[in-house]
Amino acid sequence: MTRGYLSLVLHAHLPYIHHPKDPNVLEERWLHEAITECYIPIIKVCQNLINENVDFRLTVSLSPPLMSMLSNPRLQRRYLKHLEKMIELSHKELKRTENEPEFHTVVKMYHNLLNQAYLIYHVQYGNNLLRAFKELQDSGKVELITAAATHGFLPLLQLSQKAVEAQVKVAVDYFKETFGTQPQGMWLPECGYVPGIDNILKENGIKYFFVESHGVLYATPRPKYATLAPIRCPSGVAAFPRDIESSKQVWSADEGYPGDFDYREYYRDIGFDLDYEYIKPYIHPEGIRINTGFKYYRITGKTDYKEVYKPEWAREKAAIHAGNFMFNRQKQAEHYSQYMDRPPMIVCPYDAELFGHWWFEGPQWIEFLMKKIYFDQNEIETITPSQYLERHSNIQPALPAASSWGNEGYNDVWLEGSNDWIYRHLHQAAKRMNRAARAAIKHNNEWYERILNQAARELLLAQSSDWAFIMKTGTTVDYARRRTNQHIERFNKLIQSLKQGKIDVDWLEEIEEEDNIFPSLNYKIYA
Amino acid sequence: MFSILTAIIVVLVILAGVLLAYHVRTSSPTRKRLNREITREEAGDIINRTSPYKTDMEISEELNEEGGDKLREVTFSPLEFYDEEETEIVLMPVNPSMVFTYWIINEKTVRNFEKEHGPNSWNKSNPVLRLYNLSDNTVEEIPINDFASNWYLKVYNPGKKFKVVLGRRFPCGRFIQLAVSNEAETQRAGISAVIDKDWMPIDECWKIESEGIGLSSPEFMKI
Repeated sequence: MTRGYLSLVLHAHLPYIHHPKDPNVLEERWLHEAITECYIPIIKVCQNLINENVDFRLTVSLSPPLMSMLSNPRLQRRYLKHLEKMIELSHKELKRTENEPEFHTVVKMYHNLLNQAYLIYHVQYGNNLLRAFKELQDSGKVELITAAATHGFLPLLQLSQKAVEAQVKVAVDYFKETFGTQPQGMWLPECGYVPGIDNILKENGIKYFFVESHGVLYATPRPKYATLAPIRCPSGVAAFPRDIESSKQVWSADEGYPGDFDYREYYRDIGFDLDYEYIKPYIHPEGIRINTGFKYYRITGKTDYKEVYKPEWAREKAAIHAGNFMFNRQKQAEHYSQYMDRPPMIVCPYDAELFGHWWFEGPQWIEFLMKKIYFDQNEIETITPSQYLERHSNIQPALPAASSWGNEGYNDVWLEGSNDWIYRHLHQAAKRMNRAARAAIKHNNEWYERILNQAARELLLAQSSDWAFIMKTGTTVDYARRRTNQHIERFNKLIQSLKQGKIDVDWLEEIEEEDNIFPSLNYKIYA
Repeated sequence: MFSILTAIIVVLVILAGVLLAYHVRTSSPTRKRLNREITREEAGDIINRTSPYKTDMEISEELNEEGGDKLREVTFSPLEFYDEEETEIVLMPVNPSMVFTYWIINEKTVRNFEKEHGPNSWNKSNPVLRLYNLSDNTVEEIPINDFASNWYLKVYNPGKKFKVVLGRRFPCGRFIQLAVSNEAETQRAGISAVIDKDWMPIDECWKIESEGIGLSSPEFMKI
């Protein structure tokens, strides 16, 4: 008998990185790494489960920038080239490690994974992984949802209602265009919620979203089931809180599974470890050493001393950890179900990029977990939030509290000394966009339309929460600052050109090609 | 003599450069050189090469002139709309105990201020922020300086509505208001005392770890 529900949610997102003129932008590697290490392995895991007739449910949130990049032919070609290069490197590595059996085993593993990636990416899905996700959705096992248009941190954009409306509407429209279905749920970027955002979700047909635990714990009135059930906002949209305990088991660097000594060490990569001349063709063309994804060591311990990775040991650990995770959820379900009139709902949302990239064995862990839940017990059942809402229509009405899943749980990460300067530009631009759109809508002028459509893209791209986050964490800060400034400058120049009644078409075409997210976007949403 | 020769060489080099640039530009497959008025269809063709948009606009004459680097510029009737950057102040909650404010001061505001309050009155007065706690009906004045354009304000007050007023205070005590912010609410930071009789909280469900806030993925990545 089902005593509790487990809802595993993977949120997949990367900022929109598209530089047609420069194929060597370091940041483009984020996409390459995530495709090889996260998205393909996650797809593969789901396929395995389906092929083995495992009944499971998984919710996957695909952010619109990620969807746009996965379906962009230029980026597809570049990824394929990258993948071919990595396969080439795997051949060289097989040869180089011929007489080192321990390393050779690990190289073989990468070699097989890369070849499998090629088959899935190129042969099976013709370079477009969205087809794979669509197929998973059609199987009924995976529910696809989306996130705000460019992953804007909505609580800090809220000054302009139109800006938040656009982030939601553009995302929903793009999802419909891509998958042909209305998304049931939306991932609020960084779980950033403030009362009122749910009204906009409602207007766009969204039935649920996720909040950090305290978003529900501090809700008004006090929720009956604490974090063990969703609450219904005044708008009617349901808010599902993140479970505290299970989050920690996976995320925490000290207590979490990914820190196990048998798991793969992320920070030892042949891009840094091997002889420069040998590895040169596989690192950045300017000779900058970067990660290649070939990592041969296990975490081993808390010191710099590292031993060679043993795929079998790691696999074993992933199975043990899946068992442990399931056991803890069973205990949770068993305990709380005694007091509740409905099965407790345990929501576990994670960044998809954790699985495979940071936690190399993460996808295996998901596979073990789903199999164990299906074959070994009947106390907990995996479920999607949509399914939950179908089964349980009587949801407590309450207003969630403003919150986010960032450090400290509020806006601190995205609004502090390193990044606070961006908001005056973002707010000002949103205001100008609104004014210009309201004026232009009265005319039937194709130049106004074209220029404002591009201005809207620039505004949306400037609003990505990623830029503020990168500025705060101190990694690739220059890139994040440049992107923010560039989109704002382009936006301002476009608005200026409208007012002057002239524009340099070469320049316009150039930015239309580069910042080409949301081809069917219509500026009128800002009016 | 030598300098004349140098000058001739320089001129020749420039000429060659211009010719080369001209050649590159006109022979590029993605560009067309036109020295006549172009038709609407052609204009559409040019504009639409990399873009799906149709156009019925006039292409400006600059397009067709020599000098490879001239803009391919189009003109259209300017869009008129109000687009002034006004003096304003914005308030944003950071967390339950802190708010952030930034402001923009339009030059016109300074000019009008001096017109109204006398020459140099701007410098003779000091900028201040007046923070209103709208929930508790209290106000606090924070002296700031003219180099700042934003400020973090510690309020230690969750779940309250605030607004902030930017103004200037003269040594005599007179206060002149420049801008009033939006209302912003600090986040709630505790469990609600409000209970819905139909949904009485189950004590056992509330015996969860009080740490409350889990680690986010970004945090994990940092570690």
